[in-house]
Amino acid sequence: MRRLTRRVTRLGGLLVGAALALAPADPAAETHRVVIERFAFVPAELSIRPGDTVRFVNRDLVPHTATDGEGRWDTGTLSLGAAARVTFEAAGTFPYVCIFHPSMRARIRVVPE
Amino acid sequence: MLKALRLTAAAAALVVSAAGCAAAEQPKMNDLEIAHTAYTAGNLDIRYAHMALAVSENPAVLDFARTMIRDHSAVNDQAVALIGKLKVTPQDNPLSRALVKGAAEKRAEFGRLSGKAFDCAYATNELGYHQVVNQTVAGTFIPQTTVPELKQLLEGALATFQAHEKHAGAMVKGLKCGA
Repeated sequence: MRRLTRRVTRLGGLLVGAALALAPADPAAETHRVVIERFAFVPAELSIRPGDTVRFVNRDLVPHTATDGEGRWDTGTLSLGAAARVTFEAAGTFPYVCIFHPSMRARIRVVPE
Repeated sequence: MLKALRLTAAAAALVVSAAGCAAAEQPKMNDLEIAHTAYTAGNLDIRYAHMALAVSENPAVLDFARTMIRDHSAVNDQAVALIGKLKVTPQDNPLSRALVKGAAEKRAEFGRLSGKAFDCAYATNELGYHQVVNQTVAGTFIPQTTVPELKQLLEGALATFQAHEKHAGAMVKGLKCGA
């Protein structure tokens, strides 16, 4: 199965980057995974810390997106096996959807320690 | 609304009767026939969607149609890849032929409609079509499939079509076809 990492998006001032190597080194930052399967984001609720990255992986046959409800970030189209990373710098709650399948909804909470 | 319901009932009856006919004549479809019919059903829904894109001006209908084209194309691309990998040729069969014939008749009906009448007919047919396809895939195709890769593909396709059924239901409700 083909696996692609499309891009890295940094949030918190909404800085959009192009590569993980450009992200400042933060030994405390973690990378979390959200799997898209059977038309659902798993887990649907995810709590992370500022500076953490979420990697979205599509395991469905059809394309999906993970798109912020307020347009602040978007993974773009993720075909089967594709992945994208989004880094969240600022605290807050980020509801997101798949723009192709409106019933797919989930949320990321960025909570300071 | 009544007309739309009749259209749906006719579509559902077509597939059910076709399935029943096939079941009577061919108690068990083989993997190549199942692959052919599943691919055909997807292609027919893509054709309905292209018609919707050409006729409808309703944003919800247009969004749904684009999703049908995107999703069914993706599923069928996977089917083609699997067929290539297995080096097999899907087999045409009575159920596939009944689906093609019924869809041609349905498109002819749609061709006489426009505006809300078209939107409601298309949306209601999509709901009925996916309901029957899902019953067939879950109740007949997956249990009868023997090749593990095809079974896995059908299971993924079923999840897709079940989401389409929900989406179609929401579209029908949003169109307020009975109002």
